[in-house]
Amino acid sequence: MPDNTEVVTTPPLAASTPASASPVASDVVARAVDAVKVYGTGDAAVTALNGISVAFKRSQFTAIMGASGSGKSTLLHCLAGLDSVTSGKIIIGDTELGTLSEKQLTLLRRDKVGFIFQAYNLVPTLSAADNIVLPLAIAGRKPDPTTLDDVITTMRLADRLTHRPAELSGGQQQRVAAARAFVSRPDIIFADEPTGNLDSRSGAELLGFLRSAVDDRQQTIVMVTHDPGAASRADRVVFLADGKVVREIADPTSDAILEYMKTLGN
Amino acid sequence: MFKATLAGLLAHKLRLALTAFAIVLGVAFVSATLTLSNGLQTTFDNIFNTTPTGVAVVVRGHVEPGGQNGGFGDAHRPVPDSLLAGVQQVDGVTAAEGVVFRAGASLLDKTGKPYASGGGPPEFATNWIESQALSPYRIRSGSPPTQATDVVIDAATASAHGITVGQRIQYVINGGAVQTFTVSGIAGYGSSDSLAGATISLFRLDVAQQQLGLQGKFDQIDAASSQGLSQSDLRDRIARHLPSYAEAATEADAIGQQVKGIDSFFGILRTILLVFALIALFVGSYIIINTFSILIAQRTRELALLRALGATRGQVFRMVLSEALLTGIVASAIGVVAGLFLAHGLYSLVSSVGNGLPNADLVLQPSTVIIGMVLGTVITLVASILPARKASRVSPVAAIRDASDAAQPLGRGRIIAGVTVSLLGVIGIALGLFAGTSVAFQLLGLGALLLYLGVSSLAPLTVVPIVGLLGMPIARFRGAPGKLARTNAIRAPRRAASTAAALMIGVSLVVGIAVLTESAKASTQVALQQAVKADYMVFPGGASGQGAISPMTTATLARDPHFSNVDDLKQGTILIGGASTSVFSANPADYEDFFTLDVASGDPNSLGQGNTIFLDETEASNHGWHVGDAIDVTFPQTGATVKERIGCIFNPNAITTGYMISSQQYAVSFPEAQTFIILLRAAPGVSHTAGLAALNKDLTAFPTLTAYDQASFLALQSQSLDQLTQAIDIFLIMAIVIAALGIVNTLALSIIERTRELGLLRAIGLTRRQTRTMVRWESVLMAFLGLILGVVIGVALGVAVVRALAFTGLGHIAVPFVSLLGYAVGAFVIGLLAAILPARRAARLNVLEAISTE
Repeated sequence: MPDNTEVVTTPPLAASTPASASPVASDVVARAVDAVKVYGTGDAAVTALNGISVAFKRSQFTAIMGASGSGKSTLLHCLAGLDSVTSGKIIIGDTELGTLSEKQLTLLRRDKVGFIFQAYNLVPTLSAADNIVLPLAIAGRKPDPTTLDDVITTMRLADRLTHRPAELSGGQQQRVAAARAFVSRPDIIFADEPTGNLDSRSGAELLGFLRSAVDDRQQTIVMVTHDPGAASRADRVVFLADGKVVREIADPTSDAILEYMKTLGN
Repeated sequence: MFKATLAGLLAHKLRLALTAFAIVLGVAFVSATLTLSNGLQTTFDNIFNTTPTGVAVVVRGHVEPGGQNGGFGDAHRPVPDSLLAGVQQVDGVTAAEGVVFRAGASLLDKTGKPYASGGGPPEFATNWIESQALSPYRIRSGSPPTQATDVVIDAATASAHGITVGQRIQYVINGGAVQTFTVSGIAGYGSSDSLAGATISLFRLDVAQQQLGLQGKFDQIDAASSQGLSQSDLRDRIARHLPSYAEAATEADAIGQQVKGIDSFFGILRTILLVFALIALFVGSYIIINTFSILIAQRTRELALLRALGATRGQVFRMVLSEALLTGIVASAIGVVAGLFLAHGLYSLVSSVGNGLPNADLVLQPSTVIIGMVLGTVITLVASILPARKASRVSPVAAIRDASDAAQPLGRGRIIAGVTVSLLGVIGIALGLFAGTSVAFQLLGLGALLLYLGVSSLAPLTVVPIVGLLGMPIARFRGAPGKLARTNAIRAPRRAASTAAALMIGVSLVVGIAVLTESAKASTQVALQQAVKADYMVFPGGASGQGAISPMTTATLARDPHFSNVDDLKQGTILIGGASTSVFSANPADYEDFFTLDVASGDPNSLGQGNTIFLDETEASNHGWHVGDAIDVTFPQTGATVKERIGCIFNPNAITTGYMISSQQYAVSFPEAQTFIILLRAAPGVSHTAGLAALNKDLTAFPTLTAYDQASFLALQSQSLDQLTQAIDIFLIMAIVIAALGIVNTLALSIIERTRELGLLRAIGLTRRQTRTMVRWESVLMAFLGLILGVVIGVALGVAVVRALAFTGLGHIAVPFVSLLGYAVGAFVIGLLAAILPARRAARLNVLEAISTE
């Protein structure tokens, strides 16, 4: 087992018991505490999250991996306030999502959370520029011009702003989606297989943007991915199986990830 | 393939239900119309057919166009009562009696006001028939009229107003003064309480004759035959003894004529209602086309799969048509049955308002079922042809991406076709309005249909400019949801256009009629101001303007010193070249004190010269006549044809149109005079209000008459026009409701189609309220597009019709801006209402599921 991996069998960041090695609670942007998610009832009940506890620090780029059905998408959805947990807690900043009304949840997603989806998910009738500022427009706020310029420049979208999504390539569309997530400076960005629909070059490029957002702008990013290469760009990888965290790898390399995935496969 | 069809239908139950609802409503309207008019017609027919009397033959004068006598059938001239003795002596006649029977006996309530203030069922006066063999009336209580002040009234009226035997009740008969009669008895009409809801007052024969101004005359003579003699045999025997001015008819023929009259009345009513029902169905066909098109766009993948699996284009085409067929059949069946309930509802509504409908047996007749089913199914099928063709063109490899949202530009072919069809429509309308053909209405209808189709096919071109512009303030003031609403409304121009076009049809008709109404009001006002010098006018009250004015009223008013000039105008029917038309008479000595003619040519002072006739410019140019020409005019009341010299040709306005003769000529040619208005001028020194007060005081003796000055006359005209407009608008509501359903449908389908996009918007922070706002404004924008298209076409149609009706005195075109503002509010409300369910659906979308939707 390579040196730069660390086997974690118990959740390192349980809220009640901050370990000495753990950052202080205020450094944690989002966390799940004993989160359980059960779909259906009776015989048809499926446990997607089985008492999972995991925390995400500020300016940290976390990749979540796991086989299909391991609960990684469910975890992402619950963390992002798109889905609710059956028991346990999800906390973004100081807010426990379970206490929020539907409207408060929506506003939290609008103001604190950014999304990047696998299938771009742009509004087809709006131009790239309008798509980028959409969360701010929905909130009735004007974008901060410096931030906007910065994001547009970084994402190399300056000459694509008036285009409709249908007129953009997949990579460009995903960059628009990323710009949209960045521009409102959310506390945390959730990315669900952001490179899943991209060719390898566009994918690498997008990961580079995500990486630099974390390094240069202290952005917090949580990314679900199947791709060890993508995961290797993260600061740490959290592996899920059967709705639980089974392992964490800090500063992962592709090899380390692949290595561990083989053991999972068995 | 049938299994796939059925599965396809069941998979989209909700969407299909919305489509079907449009058909259900349209067919229900058709079915209700037919059921109601058939039911009423049968009821009326039965009253005439099944009330048994022993009458075998009726003797009467010849047909008199425009005559007063006649009920539902043709009017006939009265005959002298001396004819009765001769009829009684004909071999085979066992009994014969004379009958007078006329409308115009107003029953007054205890305060001296007429019970029926116009618009209700007619109030007939007639004579009590002595012979039980001849009379349809049966005394229920009391006794027949024996005294000059006795009256027998029908049981229905008696119970409606709580009138009992022995009670004294007041009448105004033929517009005369108030008279008091004593109820000697209450009678049924055969076994029913009344004759189809009409009020019938039965007087002693000589009293009835005198009251109705028919001294020495009978409207007809009823004769019974001895046993074994057929009606036709007796008719022939009697006919041999009749002078040339009289004719005999079998009772069966006479009743048949009445029934024919009723049937043609209901035929017209049915046609009018069916036109509205067809408009509703036409609007419904837009909804069908739109829904099927959207469904097919959404099912592109499924259709492509079928094609990939080997289904031919024909099979796909037939599959979609089969879906339409099944939908059409089921929806039509529901509609036919719903129509029965609607008919019952309408019937109760009309009964409760008009208090005069007889009990009708409202049942679904086979013809109604067939017409409803065929219409609904055929319209659904026809409307689905285009979408089906589109479906059959889906290629097997298509459908990787959902292209339904792509805004396909209109092809040059479609634009040319749209323009051509629109132009054909305009030509059809123009021919219908101005060519004076016998199929004017059909041409007008066909033209309007083509115009709607043409404009609808061009409407997508208007979506981006109109909705884009209208949406700007919304995008500006409603923030991101407003902006999204605007872009959503213009993202699929064809869809938005056909949704709006459905609304356009109803709106354009409402607007067109409003333009017509407003123009009529304006024309009346202008005519009053320019041509009428009379200070006051007197005619029967109520919006219907029914009833008579007795000559003695004019004389009574003329004695009042408050007025310097008092005279009346009379009216009647004349035949010009065999066609009947109306004429009015005025006194050459003083008519110019009351109104002036807008003279086109000739001398307005020549009216008093013997056999001189005036006519309006439209009539003159239609016949190619000029001042000085001699024309043949037949007066039906005397049967005389007279050569009349054209003395003056005037321009028609809202007060004076048609033909005009002198009162002297009228007195000779119209033994049964019909006064329709009394005109008065206040004496010098009498103020307007003092004169009006004096007039109203004088009229207390004539409670069926009402005094008007120019302002109240205009108000009355406006009121009756408004009532007519409202009645028409009520029938157009169905078309508008269906169009609103179309908006609901389009929104609902669009929301299903945009599920993932909505999920995204919700995920990145669009609140439920904002989501609803977005859908609501998209809906309002579509409604406004329909409104604007409808207003443009409606104003154009209205102006064209006003132009075409210029001959009736509609000289002034007026656009009702206030009403238009009201319609804008209406469109706004329709938009809001139509958005309620789709907006709720959009707001309640499960965000997570929505995002992961393919």
